[in-house]
Amino acid sequence: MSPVFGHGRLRLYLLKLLEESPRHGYEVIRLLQDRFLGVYSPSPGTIYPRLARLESEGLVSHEVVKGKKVYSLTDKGRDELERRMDELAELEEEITASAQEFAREVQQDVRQTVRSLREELTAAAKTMRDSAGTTSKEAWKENTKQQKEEWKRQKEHWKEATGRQKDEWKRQKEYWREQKEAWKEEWRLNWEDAWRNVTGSRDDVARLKLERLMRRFVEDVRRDAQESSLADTDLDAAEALLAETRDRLRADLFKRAPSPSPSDD
Amino acid sequence: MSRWTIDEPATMEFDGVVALRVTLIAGSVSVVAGGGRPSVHVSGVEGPPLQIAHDAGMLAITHEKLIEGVLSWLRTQKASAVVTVTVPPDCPVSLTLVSAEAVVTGVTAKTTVRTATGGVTLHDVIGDIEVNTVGGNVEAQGLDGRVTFVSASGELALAGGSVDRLSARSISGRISADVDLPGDGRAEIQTVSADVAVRLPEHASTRVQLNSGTGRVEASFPDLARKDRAIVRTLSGKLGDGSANLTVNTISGTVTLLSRPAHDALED
Repeated sequence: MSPVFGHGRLRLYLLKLLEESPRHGYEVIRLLQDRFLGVYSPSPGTIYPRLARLESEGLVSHEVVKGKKVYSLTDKGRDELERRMDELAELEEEITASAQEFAREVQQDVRQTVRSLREELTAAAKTMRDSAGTTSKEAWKENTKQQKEEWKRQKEHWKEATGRQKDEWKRQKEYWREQKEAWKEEWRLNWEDAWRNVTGSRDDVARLKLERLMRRFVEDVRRDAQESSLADTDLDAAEALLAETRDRLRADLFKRAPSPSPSDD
Repeated sequence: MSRWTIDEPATMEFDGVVALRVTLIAGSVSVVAGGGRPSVHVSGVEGPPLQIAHDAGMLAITHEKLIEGVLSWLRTQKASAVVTVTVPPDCPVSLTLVSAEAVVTGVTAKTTVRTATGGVTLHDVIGDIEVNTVGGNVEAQGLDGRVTFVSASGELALAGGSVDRLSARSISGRISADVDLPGDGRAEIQTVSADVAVRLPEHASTRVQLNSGTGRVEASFPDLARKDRAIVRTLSGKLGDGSANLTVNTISGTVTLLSRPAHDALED
């Protein structure tokens, strides 16, 4: 992962964390992880020596509480932090911007892992298939007698299981039929509702209803048309009828009162 | 209630966010849960501006003025945004996306993602996780909790997770899962034509039932019994003390169950 800290900035951030409150080393590590959303995950081997160095420079001091070293900022440390306030603000800003960077890295990281998992599983499955032929033959020979009895015993059970399996597939088929409907519904109709909930005004709702009326109209006409065969002249006549309807809608409804629709649509 | 309209790159911070809801057509949304202050970072907007509303802790982000038939609208206009949101880990997240991609990481509350074709990446997400997609691929790592996945053609790949309950259904999207089923965890996988590959720890305690109508069924656990009948090929049996449960049903896909050696731990 990308180095978040350079130029003594980890040192600066350590001082900041200890200014907030005295803390022990483990707590500092955990806070760093939290604050950096896992982008920067320091090891104790990084943090403890740094705390020790800060202490030898007189910027922090420690006392032992319940067997753990608890570090706190000294006045000298507070001075240094004061002096570098601007730098700290800049660092905070970078940390916020790093969330985006972090998300991208997570995506790449997961993608990489998943790709290697897929390859691994595919390879393992292939190896297994290749060796399955020989092993199962041996197993077969060994177990034939045992198997026969097993089969006799389980014949009844299987009959029942086959019925169950058929039911299972019937259920699955039913499920997908429903799911298909649900998707259709969701992505065509309810989708607009999703937006309306977030952004909708009354005018929007009216337009939505109009959209729906038109869609229903198209569906109805399509269904009616299924029963009859259409010649070219019929199509021409249909076009004329539709044009007439549109003209009437325009003349009688839309033009009648200038609608207060938003201009940016 | 506060509302903002964003039409250029911007960063905003919020005092408290208790729930997040994002509705986007194209672009991407990344949700990063962590200890910092909740924030929204918009790094690109094309088409209509983004509208951000913050009301009683509910943070809602969407394109502005998307009201007419969205799918017809899509053909003529561009509506794309790149958004990064940071939220507290216990914030429920709901994303509704068309072709936009989603990345969610660190969330420990309920996570719901619906996409038409956008890919979904989940990392270290805990709790109830629900993904419904038509054609988007779902790639996940380090999930823990109850996972529900439904897809038409999108693939599901779960790497290194520990799930109490996994329910995965797909028509033609391949399903690969490398998971632990701790305690009485249950995994149910159903596909029509998609191949299924599952890997469990070598010493898993799981009842296993693998069925395929016309596809191959293979497992690297020798304890499972094979039954090939006219209508279905089955491998079933009990691994360990059989406390957990794995069921795979596919009509024409192949089913492969693999074992993960104990030393190959799930650390990432």
